[in-house]
Amino acid sequence: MHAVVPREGEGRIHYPEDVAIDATGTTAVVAEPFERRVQWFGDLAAATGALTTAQLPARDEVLSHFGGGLSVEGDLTALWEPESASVVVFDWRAGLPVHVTTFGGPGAAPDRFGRVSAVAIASDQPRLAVADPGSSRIAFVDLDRDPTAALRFDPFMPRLAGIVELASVMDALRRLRPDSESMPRRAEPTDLAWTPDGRLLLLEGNTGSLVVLAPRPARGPASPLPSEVVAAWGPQGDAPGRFAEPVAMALSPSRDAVAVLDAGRRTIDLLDVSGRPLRSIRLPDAPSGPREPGGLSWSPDGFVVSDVPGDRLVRLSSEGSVLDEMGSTGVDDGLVWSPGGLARRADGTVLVVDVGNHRVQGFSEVDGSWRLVFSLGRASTRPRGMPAE
Amino acid sequence: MTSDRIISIALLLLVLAAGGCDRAESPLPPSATEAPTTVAPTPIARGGEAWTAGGRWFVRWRTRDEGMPTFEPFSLELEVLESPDGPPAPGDVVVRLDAAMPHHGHGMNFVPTVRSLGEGRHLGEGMLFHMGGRWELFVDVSRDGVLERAQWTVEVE
Repeated sequence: MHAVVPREGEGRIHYPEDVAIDATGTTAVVAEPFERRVQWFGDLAAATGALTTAQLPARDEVLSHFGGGLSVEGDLTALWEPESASVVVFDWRAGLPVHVTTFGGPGAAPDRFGRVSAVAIASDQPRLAVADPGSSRIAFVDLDRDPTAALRFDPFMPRLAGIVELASVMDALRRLRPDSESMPRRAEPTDLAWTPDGRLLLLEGNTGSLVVLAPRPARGPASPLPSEVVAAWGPQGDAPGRFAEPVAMALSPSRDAVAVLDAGRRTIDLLDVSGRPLRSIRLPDAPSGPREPGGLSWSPDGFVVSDVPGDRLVRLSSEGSVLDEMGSTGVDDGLVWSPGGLARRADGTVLVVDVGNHRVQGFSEVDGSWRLVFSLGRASTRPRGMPAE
Repeated sequence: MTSDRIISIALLLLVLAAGGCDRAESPLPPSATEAPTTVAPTPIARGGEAWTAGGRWFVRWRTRDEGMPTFEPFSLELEVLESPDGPPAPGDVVVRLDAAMPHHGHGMNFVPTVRSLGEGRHLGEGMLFHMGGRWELFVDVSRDGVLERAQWTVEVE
């Protein structure tokens, strides 16, 4: 009954969230918010006008084969797979992304994950930070990797370096913030980013904070974990430098500023790496602007923002005006379904997690042309010019 | 205690005293070339030491008399210090021991326990490698909401 490919219907089901059976037991209606549809099983004549997509239940923690975000650094790209609670790493040295390792898996052990919400690859070392609000912690995983060796899948590459409990992060945040009495106790990281000096920026959705974790001095020769909360920027509010619903962030190409996408205030807020607000850019209203912004990337002209329900990427100028858009609703190359996180490669490719189609696609940040698609599935990686079959 | 076992333990202590390594020691050579057939083969004794990956703790481990057998439970002696020659880790650190075979996608079938012996020393019990091959040995040290891992590769015949 499970759909083999996205959008497949005619009785095949994909992430059903509700079912109703009539009193006679001869017909049933299955709601699939992920596919934005209902399917009727039984007497089709009785289905006319029975349900509309507006009556679908709220989308509740829909899982896909790729999570909502990704991280790009040098030759590496990391994503997470919610259903297996694992992180997957691709290597681009061959020109196309090659899946080189997977780590994690469901469980409570330190090297397992509960629910991953963000990943970030450090710029100066092969270390990943993985936000896991399901287990209330951040995991740090080193990649034991020879970047000159032949590409191969290597299950021994990932080595857990350590974890930082999010409860201790929230305790430290509470000490820093004057409004700590009303502060939620549970952390919900929405994004992570590394600064060049080894600090980790954590975008915390429940408090609307950008938390800065710095490495403690190490006694030994190893690279210390960023485990000490040294600052928290942007308490919730409606002024520049304050966040209502921060969903994504991206360091500038020169790594001297961070842009925070605030879906609640519909802004992109720029801060320098010391946390000082630089300016706030208002997102254009829909329909030209994104209806529900989900991902953020810098581009030579300004920014790219993904529009989750609008099935497109919107290119914005540095002042926030719409330049053009990439993608539209669908499953073919260059078409997207509920696009999520964005990341930029050094070659000018904007990668987007095409969440609804279980894949990643790449577009030119210059002209918006489609460049490639990749995923974990067999024969799913394809650059422009290569036929699908 | 058989003479070959005494020699084996003496060799182990020499190796541990000789200094550190960041991976498991190579298996020690058999201490007796012609062990009597009525005596079980001497288990391979091993040890290792390394900093945790965040550089906060220095960890040493070594096998006990039973060595590191396959299909049999064994114990490990652990030492958690602030530096190779430094003081022991504070008494409130939590030490966890585990092992896995990443290329097989599984760990051990048993959950080992670790109990403190004081002064940074711990005893890990209930280890069992249920098959030969490449195992990754983990020692996790936690304090103040931060866990750091030290890891070694162990080849088990």
